[in-house]
Formats: sequence, C-alpha cells, structure tokens
Amino acid sequence: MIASKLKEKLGLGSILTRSTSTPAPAAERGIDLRHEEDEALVHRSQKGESAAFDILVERYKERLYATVYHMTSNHEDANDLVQETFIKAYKSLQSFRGQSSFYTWVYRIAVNRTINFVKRRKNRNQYSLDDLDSSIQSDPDLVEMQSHSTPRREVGLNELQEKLNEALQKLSESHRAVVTLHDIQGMTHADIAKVVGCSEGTVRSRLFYARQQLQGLLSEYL
Amino acid sequence: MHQHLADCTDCRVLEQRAGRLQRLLALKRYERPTPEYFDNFLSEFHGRIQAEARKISWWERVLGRVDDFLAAESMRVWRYSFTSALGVAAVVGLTHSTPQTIAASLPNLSSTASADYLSASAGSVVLVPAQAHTDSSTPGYVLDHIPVTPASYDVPSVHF
Repeated sequence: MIASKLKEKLGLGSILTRSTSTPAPAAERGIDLRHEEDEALVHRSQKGESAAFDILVERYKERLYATVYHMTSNHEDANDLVQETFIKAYKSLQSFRGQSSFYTWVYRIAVNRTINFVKRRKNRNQYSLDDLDSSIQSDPDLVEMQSHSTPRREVGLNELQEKLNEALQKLSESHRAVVTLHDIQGMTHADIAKVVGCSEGTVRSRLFYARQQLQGLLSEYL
Repeated sequence: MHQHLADCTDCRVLEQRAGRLQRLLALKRYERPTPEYFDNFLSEFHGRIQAEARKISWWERVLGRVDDFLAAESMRVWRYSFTSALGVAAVVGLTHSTPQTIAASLPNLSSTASADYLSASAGSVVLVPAQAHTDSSTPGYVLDHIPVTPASYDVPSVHF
C-alpha cells in the first residue's frame, strides 16, 4: 500500500516495475498507437504502457514548445520547461481523471510552470531566439505590412523579431499567456479559459488590455 | 457594428490598428527551431525520467521493499502482526526515553562537552587551559599569582 502510494506520488510505478498483470504492449500485438485517440493513449499509459505516453509526447511537443517559447523568448528555457511539463504529466497521470482533455490538461501544466518560471526570473530576461523560417518572406501579412505606409517603411525582419519579443516580455505573465495562446497559437477563448483557469470574460478582458499595451509598444510598426 | 465603423473614423482607425497588431503577432509563428531539433526530444525525456527515478532516497526504497513484501498474498496474515510489533517497539522506545533517563545521562554529557565548549569559544575570550580541570592537586586560583597584602579589618588607632 505504502509503496504503491509512493510510486503513484512519484509517478514512477510503470517505469520502475511492470506488473505481471499488465497486458502486453500494443506494439507486441501489432497495434499502431499513432492512430489512437488521446483518451485511449492516456488509458494505456495509466496501465503502464510507456510507449503510449511516448506517442502523446510526440504529438504535443512542438505545440507546447511554441507556446512556452513565445512566453519566455528563450530557446533553452523553453526546451527545459517542456521537458519538465511532460515529466510532471507522466508523474501525475494516475490522478488524471479525464474531466478535461489531455491536451487542455498538459497545456495547463505547461502554462502554469512557465508563468511561475517567468515570475522567478523577472528582471533578468535573456533572449535566445529561434531563427525565422524562410517561408516568412512570402507571408501575405508581411508583404502587406511592408507595402503599407507605416512610420517604419523599411522593416528589417530580425529587428522586427527582436521588437516583437521585447514588447511581449513587457506584458505581465498572465497577459502574455493569453496573447500567446490566442493571437499566436490561435486557440479559442473557451480553450484558453480552461487552460488558464479563469472565465472567458477574464480571457477577453486580459486580451483587450494586453493588445492596448502592445499597440503602444509597437506603434511604429502599425 | 459594421455601420458604426463605416461612420466613425476614430473607431475605424482603432480597428485597423488592432487588425495590424494581430497580423504582426501572427508572424511570430515563423520563429521556430529546425525540424531536426526535436529528433532527440523523446530520448532526452526518457533520460530525465530515469534520472528522476534514481533520485528516490534509500529509505523510500527500503520502505517500498518492506511494503511489497507485506503486500504479498501469503503475507496477509502477518501484516497486522508486523504493524502491532512496530507499535509496541515505538511504545517501548518512548518509555525508555523518559525524563529520568535523560537526566541521568546529563552529567556525562556535560563533562565531555565542557572541553568542546572551551575550544569552540577560543576566539572571543581568554580561557583557562582545559587540563587544569583534571589536575588532582589542590585547586589554584588566578589571584594566587598576584602579590597583594591581605586587607585588615582591625579598626585603626586614632591619634589626637
């Protein structure tokens, strides 16, 4: 009893010991887990099939990385935080009851960890930016922006990237999270409310104030 | 709302600026690591999980082993006996550490600890050497080394 509770607390039961009653892994039975729904994969992971959790990691790593990266503007920190998020999710998997989707649940872990991290590292922002994908040159929004009569007609891409990140880092953690999830990641208000743990009205209000602030900070590019 | 935006110039400008900001923020989607960056992500995750597992302290392992042993079906009968034995051991342990037994052990503690205290405070005060306490001859005092005439309590004679 104590050991099982301890293992459950540490979330390491399945990786340390595989019970003899555990069904044979899906791979051994010729099942391709990549086509399974999140719910089924979570269920398998809870039973000790670590390969099922690997699929979930593969499925969400890039999206989680993007969210955390846009909140931290630091490549290495983003990598660490996403790794920690999946470790935390793996450890807490037994307590996941499926009241929300796995996607919302894991996003909530990532956003909360990132907000705490950003609060701790306040006043020591170190940017470590990812390169811009070359396909940005043909983005219609960028083409339109560059042709538009903005106060800064000549927009250098690297400069723009730096200014955007600087402006985002000047927002409070909760406002930054909402802007990242909505305007960059394209999440709905309802999903953001579930991830952040507040009402949809609060999400809209935070989004409004964050945009007001960003418009002031980026006025020369608008 | 569309009608209002068509009529009100201020609101139209604000709306256009908000739209441009959203398009500007959307450009951040192009900031991303190379596809190869995620190649080792899963193996790093496995490495970190293994490292977390190694962090479990020795007493947690022992506790786990004991519990696994007791959780076995054949040991079900002995589970309660073992728990009772633990309880008895705890009570016996508490009984032996009553205030009397603690008090009895104090003199020994103080005699051995005094030398430690002396050496520990050597930086701040002048100390009498520790061996003076173990000397079996008659006790000596610091004032013995100072030549002073003993004070007299006789009433001095008065001359008129």
